[in-house]
Amino acid sequence: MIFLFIYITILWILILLGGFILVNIIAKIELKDIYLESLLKGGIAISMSILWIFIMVKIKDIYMRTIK
Amino acid sequence: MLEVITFLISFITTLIFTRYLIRVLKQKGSVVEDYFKPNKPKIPRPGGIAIVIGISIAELTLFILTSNTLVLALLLSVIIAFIIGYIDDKKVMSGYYKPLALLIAALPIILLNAYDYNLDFPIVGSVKIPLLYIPLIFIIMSTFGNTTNSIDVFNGLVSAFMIIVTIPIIIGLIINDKYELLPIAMPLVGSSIAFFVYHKYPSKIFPGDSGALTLGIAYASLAIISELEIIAVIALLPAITNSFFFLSTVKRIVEHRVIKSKPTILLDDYRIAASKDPNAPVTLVRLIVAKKPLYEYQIVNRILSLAVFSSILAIITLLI
Repeated sequence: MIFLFIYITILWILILLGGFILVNIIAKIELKDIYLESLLKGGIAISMSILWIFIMVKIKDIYMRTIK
Repeated sequence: MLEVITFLISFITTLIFTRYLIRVLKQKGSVVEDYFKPNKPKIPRPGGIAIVIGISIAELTLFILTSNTLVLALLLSVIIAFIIGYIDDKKVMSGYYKPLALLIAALPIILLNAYDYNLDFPIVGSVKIPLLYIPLIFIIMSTFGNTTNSIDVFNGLVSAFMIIVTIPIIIGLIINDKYELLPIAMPLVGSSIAFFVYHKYPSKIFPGDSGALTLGIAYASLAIISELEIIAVIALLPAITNSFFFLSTVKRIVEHRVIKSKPTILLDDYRIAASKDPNAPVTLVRLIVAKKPLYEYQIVNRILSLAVFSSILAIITLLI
């Protein structure tokens, strides 16, 4: 159970961190071509989501190895 | 005042219809085994009919009184989700059916313009995503609906879970001075509480896919209409974690019932233990019983304590 509480807390921190990066860094990117700008911002956001998922999978896998 | 009226309408209607449904579904033989109980008693299903009637009558009354299109958007989305779930209750569909079909439930929100394309991140600010927000609505509707459905595995769990995770949304509406949206939110709470009366351990009725999807889509619609998407995601983290664990081990979208290696096993004394099979999918329940087997009600209490914890994190996020 402690693992699940910690896991949810890490997810919460990652959501807030992701929001901070989106609002303060990615949202401020400005390009002349609005569609290219949207594509770039969307691409960075999706890449970040994939990285977050990778982190969460790794944490879960490490925990699963400890309980086997 | 309107919030009290919508709460009472949904609560009383769901309470009366659930009681009526228990009798009617038993007479019609629409029952399923309660797998985790001695002698495996037959429990009526789907109780989702009572949930959707409770929410719909309350929201329809509100729409007649206010002509607010946000109410209509939520009402239509909820009805679509119920129909999708009811089809799945009556006929076993493929694993892709619910995630794809629930995309239709996003249409009323989009077509009735019941959203704002500013995505609010509490603490850090908001980001305008006019092009990305519509795909995001589809993702939110499908994800919330399916994750809510994924935790409907034990007596009383999904109805109690919804009561707990709606509290941060209600608090968010009050903190953000959106009192006019409180009457739209209250039918979800009223209907969940009324259904919980009969769904709590030991259950007298199961919600079925129609009930779980109705609750999940009502919650998703509310999160979008209230512009509290991130708060809703944080409150829903235990259910999202469950779906995430399952998908990351199974690596495909598939119905639980077709998985050959089950994540948990039922012991002779009716405690639930974690499967020793390394190929069995990882779920929230499997991790909860990983160290020692537990009875059903103990697992429900542990999952609900996670829901309370994630809801507290959501409220902290609102208050910082």
